Amino acid sequence: MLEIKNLHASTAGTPILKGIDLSVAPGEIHAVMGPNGSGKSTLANALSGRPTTEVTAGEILFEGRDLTGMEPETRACEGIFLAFQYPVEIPGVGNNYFLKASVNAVREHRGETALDAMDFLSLVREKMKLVHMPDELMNRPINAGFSGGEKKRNEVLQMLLLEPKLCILDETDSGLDIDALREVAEGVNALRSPDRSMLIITHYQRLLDYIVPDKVHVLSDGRIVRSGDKDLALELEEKGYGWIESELASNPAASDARAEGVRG
Amino acid sequence: MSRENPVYRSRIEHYRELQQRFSGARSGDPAWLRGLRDESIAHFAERGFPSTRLEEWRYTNVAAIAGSDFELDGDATEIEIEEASGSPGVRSLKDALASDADSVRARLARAPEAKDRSFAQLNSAFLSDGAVVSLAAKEVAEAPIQLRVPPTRAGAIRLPRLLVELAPESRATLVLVCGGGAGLTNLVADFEVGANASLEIVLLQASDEPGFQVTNLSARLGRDARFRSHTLSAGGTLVRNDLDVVLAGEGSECHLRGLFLGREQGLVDNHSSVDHAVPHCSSHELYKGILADRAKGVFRGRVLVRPDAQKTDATQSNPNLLLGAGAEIDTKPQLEIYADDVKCSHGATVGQLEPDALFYLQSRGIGRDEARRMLLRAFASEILEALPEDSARDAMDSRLDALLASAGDES
Repeated sequence: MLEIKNLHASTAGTPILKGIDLSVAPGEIHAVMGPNGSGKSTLANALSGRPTTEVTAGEILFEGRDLTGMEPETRACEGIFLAFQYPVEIPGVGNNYFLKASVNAVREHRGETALDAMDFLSLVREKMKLVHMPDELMNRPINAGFSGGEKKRNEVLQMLLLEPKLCILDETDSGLDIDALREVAEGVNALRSPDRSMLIITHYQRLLDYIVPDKVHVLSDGRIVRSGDKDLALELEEKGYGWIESELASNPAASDARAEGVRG
Repeated sequence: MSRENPVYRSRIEHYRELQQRFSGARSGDPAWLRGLRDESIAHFAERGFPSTRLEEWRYTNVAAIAGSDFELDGDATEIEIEEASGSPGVRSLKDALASDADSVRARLARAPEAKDRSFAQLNSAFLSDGAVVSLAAKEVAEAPIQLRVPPTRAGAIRLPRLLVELAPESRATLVLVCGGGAGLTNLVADFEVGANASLEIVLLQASDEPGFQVTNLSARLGRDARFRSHTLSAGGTLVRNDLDVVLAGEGSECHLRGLFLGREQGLVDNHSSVDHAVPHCSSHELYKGILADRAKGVFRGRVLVRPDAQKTDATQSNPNLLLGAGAEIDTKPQLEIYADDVKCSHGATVGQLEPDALFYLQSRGIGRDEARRMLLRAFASEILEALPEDSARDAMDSRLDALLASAGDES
C-alpha cells in the first residue's frame, strides 16, 4: 500500500525528515509516535502534499506510484486522506456544500456518478451518526466556530464519506476528552477493513487503547529510531520519550540498525 | 497632471464648446435650467479635471479622461426605465421637466451643490434627462425599480441624472445598471429618504470594455429613515464612486456595502462620506475588494460625527484580497468625532487567499481552481448574499470567475 524510502523533507528550508523508511501493507494500522518537533506532522504533510513541506530526497510509493510531485487533490482522489491536527476554519464556505463538492470530486475521479442533493444528504446523515455529530454543524461554514471536538469529528466524518485507502490521522486525539476520544475512535474503527491502511500519528498512547495498531514506530529528530508492536507504545508511555533519547545518545548506531530492521 | 497643464485647458475649451452647442439646441428650456447649465460649465472650467495633488484624488489619476475629447453619445443623458418597474412614480427626467419643471427645479435645489466636484459640475452642465423616482407617502414599490444607463461607445460621454425622492413611510428598492462601454459615464444621483421611509439601492458597474465610470451619489435621511446601498464594481479602466450620506434625522440608519473587483490594470476607487448630523443614528459600512494582476483599488471612508450627534453607532470595515504581486490597495478610514458618547469602529485588512484553506480544500479532492473559486466566493459572499435581487449577483459571480481566470496561478 505505502512504501516510504529514505524520505528527506524540509519546512521553510530547515531539514526535518532525515531519512524515513516505512512500509505499510494493506489493512495494517501503524502508529507513529514521538516527541514534539520529531517530524510527525511533517511526515503527514509530505504524504498529503502540503506545499509548505518540500521533499528533498527519497520516494513515497503509494500502490507502486511515486506521490512526490503529485497535487494534493490528486492524492486525495487516489485515496489518501489526512485528518488535520488543526482543521482549518473557512468562513463563507458551507460545510454541507464543501462535503458534497469533496465527495463528488473523488467520485468523479473514480469514474462514479456524482451524488445528487438527496442521495448526499442520506449518506451524510448516516455517517454523522457514527461520529455523533449534531446536524446543525452541516449548515455552518467549514469548522468556523466549531469546538475542538467538533472539528475532529468533522475530520473523521470527511474520512468516512471519502472512504480513502490510506488514512493519516495527525494527532486526531489531541485536545479531546475521553468521551469524545472514544466516539471519534469509534468512527475510525468503522473504517477498518482488510484493504484499508492507517497511519496514526500521536503524541499519546491513550488513543491506541481504542485503535489498536499492528505496529508502532518512534520518530526522533526526523528518523524512525525504534519500531515494535503495540507494547512499544505502552513502554514509551511508562518510560517517557526521554528513555528513547537517552538510549540513542549512549548508542547512536543502534537507531540506524533498528530502522533497517523494520524495512519491508 | 495639473490643471495648469495647457493640454487640459484645451480639453476644457472642448467641453465649453460642446456645452454651448448642447444648450443652444435647447433654447426653449426654462431660463433657470439654462442658467444652471451655464453656471455649472463655468464652475467646471474654473476647476478643470481633478489633479492628484488634491487629497481626494491622490491615488486616482484621471489623465486618461482629461486627455481625451469625449463627444456626446447620442442624447447622452437618458436613463432607460424597465417596463416591469411600472411604478407610477418612475419617469424620465425629460418628461418631468416638460410637465412639471417647477417641481424638478425645487427638487434640484434640495440636492447638494457640489461646486467642488468637477465631474458633478460637468454633469450639471448638460442637465436635461435621466430618471425621476418619487414615491408618495406610504407607497410601497413591491418589485425592484430597474434603471439602466446604456453602454457608452468609445470616445463618447454620457451624463445622466437620477433624482429619487421617497415620501414618509414609503419603501422602494432600486437597481441601477451602469452599462459600461468603452467611453465615459459620468452619473449624478441624489436620494432623499423621508421620515421612516426605506430605500435600498444596487449600483452595478460591470464592464467588459476599457471604459471609465465616475459617479457622484448623495443621500439625505430624515427621521428614522433607512438607506442601504450596494455598490458593485467590476471591469473597466477606471471607476470612481463618491457616495455621500447625511444622517439628518434622528434614528436614521444607513448600511453602505460594496464589492469591487479589479483586473489587469484597472482602477476602482470608492470614496464615501457619512455625516452624523444628529443623535441616535447608525451607519455601517462594509466594502470588500479583490484585486488581481496589476489592478489598483482605493477605499476612503470618512465618518463625521458632529458635536450634537450623541449615541452615534458607526462601523466601517474594508477587507481586501490581493491576487497578484502587482495588485495594490490604498485604504484609508477617516473618523472625525466631535461628540463624546458614541460607538465608532473601523478596520481595514489586506491579504491573500489563505494557503492553509486552499490546501485544506485540495486535500479533500477539490481541484486547485475550484478551491480558489470557493474561497473567492466565500470572501465575496457576505456582500453578494445580502443583495435584494439575483441579476446583480449573477453578474458579479461571472466577473469573479473572469477575475480568477485572469489571476491565473499567481496567488
